[in-house]
Amino acid sequence: MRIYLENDPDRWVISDLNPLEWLFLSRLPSTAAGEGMAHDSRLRLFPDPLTNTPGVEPDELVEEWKEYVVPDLANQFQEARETVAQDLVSRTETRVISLVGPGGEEDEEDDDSAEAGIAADDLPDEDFVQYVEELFDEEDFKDDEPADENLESDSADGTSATRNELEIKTVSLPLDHGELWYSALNQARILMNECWSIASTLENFASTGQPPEDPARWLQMAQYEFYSVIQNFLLSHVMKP
Amino acid sequence: MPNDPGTTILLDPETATDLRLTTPWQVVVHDDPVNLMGFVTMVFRRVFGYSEDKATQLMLEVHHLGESIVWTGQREKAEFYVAQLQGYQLRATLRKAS
Repeated sequence: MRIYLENDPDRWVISDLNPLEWLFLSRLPSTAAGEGMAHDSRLRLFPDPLTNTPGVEPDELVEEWKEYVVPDLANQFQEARETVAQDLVSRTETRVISLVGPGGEEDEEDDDSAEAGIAADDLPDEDFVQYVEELFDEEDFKDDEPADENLESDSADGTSATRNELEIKTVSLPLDHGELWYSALNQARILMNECWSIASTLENFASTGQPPEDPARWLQMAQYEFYSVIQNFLLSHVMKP
Repeated sequence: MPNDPGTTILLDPETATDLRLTTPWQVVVHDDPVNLMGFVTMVFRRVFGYSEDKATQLMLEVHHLGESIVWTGQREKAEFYVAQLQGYQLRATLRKAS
């Protein structure tokens, strides 16, 4: 994956997304919506407004908060998720590149991988991506449906990769969508952490160097960090104080 | 002017009520392991108009102490700020100053 700013028109671009990275990105709207997660996880996005306030009628304030503030917050968060979902469908381009064939020879018809600066060795094996997709459908993820049609073997734009080819995605986004993307990425990371304690898993990994034994945990960690990379880019290059 | 030591001060009930109403409220931001430090700083600058130095100092307080009182004042305004901070997905609450 590459992520950068581009001029004329001004936009930010996430390019050269391999199938695993695209899987993470295309899952953003559903992950941010908490699909497949315990309902209680979403409460983290709507915390009670009061702490330790003797002499105040908490019920009254909390009720008013639920009536007026929470729906407004829910709308804000939903708008961000919907914008991301639409962007993923309407602002994504797909290229199909050739990989080194089973015999080791390179397909001469298509040299896009070299053009894109992608070495075949750097790309995930198709079997691995399929394995990852299956993991997403396992109990820990509980997602029955893919985030959008692009996750099917045939892309929405009509491209279809064979076994020796790989679909590489690029998403080009307006600068003013940066805030909404950040919000959706944050919602996703907050809910993932609430549901699966990703932050402590990462902390443990950082201190011991031992990845989690459960492949699903490893995958959640990778997805969480992938979102964090995009957030850091937005914070440094797109969002203004 | 100092009060005479033998004098008992009686509070006017209306004045006492006014004092209660004007007791300041605090906007408190609690630490969480998800929000990026730079983002929290940026939100403090946006919502309260703080300088980068002040916003960074408050963010570090949140990070190291677990929470920070980021603003103190009238209740209505405190509620407004907490709603804004929650809109940025920070863990923000309000409480009456002791």
